[in-house]
Amino acid sequence: MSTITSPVLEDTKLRADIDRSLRHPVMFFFASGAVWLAISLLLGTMASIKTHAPDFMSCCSFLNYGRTMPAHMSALIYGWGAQAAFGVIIWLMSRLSRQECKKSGIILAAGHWWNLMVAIGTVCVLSGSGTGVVWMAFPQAIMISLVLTYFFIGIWAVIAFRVRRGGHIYISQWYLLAALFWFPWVVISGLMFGQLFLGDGDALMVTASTAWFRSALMFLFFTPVAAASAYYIAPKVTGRPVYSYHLAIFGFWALAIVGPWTGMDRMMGAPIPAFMQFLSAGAAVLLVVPAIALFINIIKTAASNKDALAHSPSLRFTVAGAMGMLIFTLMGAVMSLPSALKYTQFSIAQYGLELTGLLGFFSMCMFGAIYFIVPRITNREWISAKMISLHFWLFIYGIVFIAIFYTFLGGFMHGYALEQVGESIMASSGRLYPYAIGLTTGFVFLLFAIFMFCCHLLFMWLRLGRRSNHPTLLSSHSPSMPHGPEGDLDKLEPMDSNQVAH
Amino acid sequence: MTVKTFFYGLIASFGVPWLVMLVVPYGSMRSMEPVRYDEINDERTDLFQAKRSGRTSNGSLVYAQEGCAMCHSQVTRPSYAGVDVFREGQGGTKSHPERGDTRRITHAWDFEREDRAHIGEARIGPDLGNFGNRLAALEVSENEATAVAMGVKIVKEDKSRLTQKEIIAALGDKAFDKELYLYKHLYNPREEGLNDPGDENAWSVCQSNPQFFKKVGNFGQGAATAVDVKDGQQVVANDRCKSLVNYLINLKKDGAVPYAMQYAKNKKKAGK
Ligand code: HEC
Repeated sequence: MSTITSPVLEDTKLRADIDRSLRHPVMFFFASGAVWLAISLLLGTMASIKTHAPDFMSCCSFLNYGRTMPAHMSALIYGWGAQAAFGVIIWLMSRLSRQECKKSGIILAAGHWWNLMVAIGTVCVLSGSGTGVVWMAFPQAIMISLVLTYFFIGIWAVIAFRVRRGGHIYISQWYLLAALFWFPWVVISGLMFGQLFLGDGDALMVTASTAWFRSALMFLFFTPVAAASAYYIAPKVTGRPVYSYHLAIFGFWALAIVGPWTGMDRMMGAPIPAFMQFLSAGAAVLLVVPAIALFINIIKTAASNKDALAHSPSLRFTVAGAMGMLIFTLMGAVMSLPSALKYTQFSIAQYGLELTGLLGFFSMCMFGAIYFIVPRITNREWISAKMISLHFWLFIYGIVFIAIFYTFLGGFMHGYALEQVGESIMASSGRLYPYAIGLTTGFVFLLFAIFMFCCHLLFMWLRLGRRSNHPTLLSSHSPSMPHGPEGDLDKLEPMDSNQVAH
Repeated sequence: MTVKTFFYGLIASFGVPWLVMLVVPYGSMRSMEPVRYDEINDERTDLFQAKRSGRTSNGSLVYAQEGCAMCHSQVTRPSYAGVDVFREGQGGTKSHPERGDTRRITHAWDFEREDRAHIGEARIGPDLGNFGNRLAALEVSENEATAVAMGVKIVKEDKSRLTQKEIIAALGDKAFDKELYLYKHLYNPREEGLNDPGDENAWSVCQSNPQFFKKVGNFGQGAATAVDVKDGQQVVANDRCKSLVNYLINLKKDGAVPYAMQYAKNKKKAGK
């Protein structure tokens, strides 16, 4: 191989080596994550059906709303969310730090253990031995095991960063580092105050800390990972630098400063110190700031190369995710205004908002990353542009429908009914009915979308992808291919398009 | 930005809210100052002690595990956060036969007997914070109605009314059975005539809970708590169900509290 002397070729080889070293763990995280996403959506559909047709399969107590709902959320968070995030974190961190992963075996083993834990946890919740706390429904022992497993996964990304080659630290790396740092702190705090000290502390603060945990996980783990992915994909695919590096850094610190204050607004009116409730409500409004920063940056970067935007599935999902982030935080802000919180605190709006954030924002960004990463690590191209396109549109229909119809209209309608002194629970149930059916409809769209995605991804895992140099684009034959001229995956990279703009 | 400043920044931006929102309140709520009764308004000056009787943690745990909190809240919010207090039966009742206006917001001592306060996710079903009180009121009215139907005279010759005890004694096994009522609700909330005879409850989306019931052989007369007969066998509540029902019956958050904490009295005095 002495012929390889040019730095460009060396670079390409390094990237290929990194990709190869990570193929198994990353592919495992993505594929099993996708399966968990499907399971979670099935459980969510089941729960949703129960709110308008409560006798549907009521012979089976494990399908009761009170069990499927927490199981659905837990599978979504630990099964899909965390695993997709892990896959993106380790791949992205290795790529940006230009380091091969030498311990992929350990990561893979930890990944298997993680899946086992999530599976046992889900079965526990469904069989009525969960904790009943929505984002932490798994029994305590499972949660502890998950945290420990995390260290075996996350540590390699930190090590890759420590021994990084090349001086510059990209904005994505900052986001990833922060996520790696926040995740254990948030989960361990939530676990300690919400479960381990149970019976020893104050019942209300136990509940309050789980409320805090929920939004901390959303804003200090899922959000930074999604942002890191977006800040990588957008410049990479367009071949243009990030629109504004300063704005990106500003957005990061805005998130870091505002994020940890959120969550207690779910306890509004409960007998915990009132300042906490109002601080959180205020923080929920301020979260719009980092969202706008991300949105402007990603949209501006993507818009700099219209061809790429039209053709690249990764970019399309990422841009949709950035819009999702903006919509999610705007909705959250409106819902947390003290005058609106009256209506939304105990209405279906809160659940709808969580779905909007986790699916419309985080998952969208993860899909973008997965469509980018998988061809590289498997050395095969996606099989069908049609399937990608169907996945995209069905998912968009589903989540937009849930966000607008269920969360916003339904949430306020339900909340309004709850706030009418004279209105009985029968009347508010009546008002809820159409929106409950709406949610099931939304879920059906999502299920079809995820079915497409899952099958596609599993085929890729089996290495049934196309052997081709031409990436799968959403419309064929464009003059300038978004993944590089003539579809060479890595041609663009020597320009280092993730480079910053100053 | 160096890696070092980055981490200092992270620790500061996360550590401060972590302390302020989590650690410090957690510590301070554990050792709450007891509230003293107010001499003028309460006409007593001792310390307020929340009633602590019975262990509810078993039932509370079942409540959590079965996800009842997904649809039921247990909090009466102050008026800055909602109209909860004014909903009849939620924070207490406007006209309690003995205690008058018992409405008040939920306070921290209401959860003293529980490990976890089931504030709740959504109000798809009614708030259960004072369900025990509503049930007690239902018991009274049901018993009186049955007594009237059976021809038992509630008002005695000397114009005084029979006490609940006397009515129950007069009704014998026709008296309202709170437990059985709840077993039936948990078994199938959509059963016709569950609340009132002829009452259509088909709209209810409360979950039915087959996991709480077991089949036992048929004992001649039939167990008093059987909710159903299936394949010639009686369906009765299991232990989990019993502890849950015990918990539900005891859900009361309207006990008298010092003046300073009482919502409705505050209002009344102010109106005067
Ligand atoms: C899908 C949401 C849902 C779940 C889950 C749920 N409920 Fe309900 N519940 C309702 C609705 C709606 C009503 C009002 C209709 C009725 O009275 O049946 C209700 C009513 C009740 C009532 C009567 C309240 C009253 O004031 O008359 C009780 C008691 C109750 N539920 C207990 C429970 C328990 C215990 C659980 C957990 C095992 C539970 N519920 C789970 C929706 C739910």
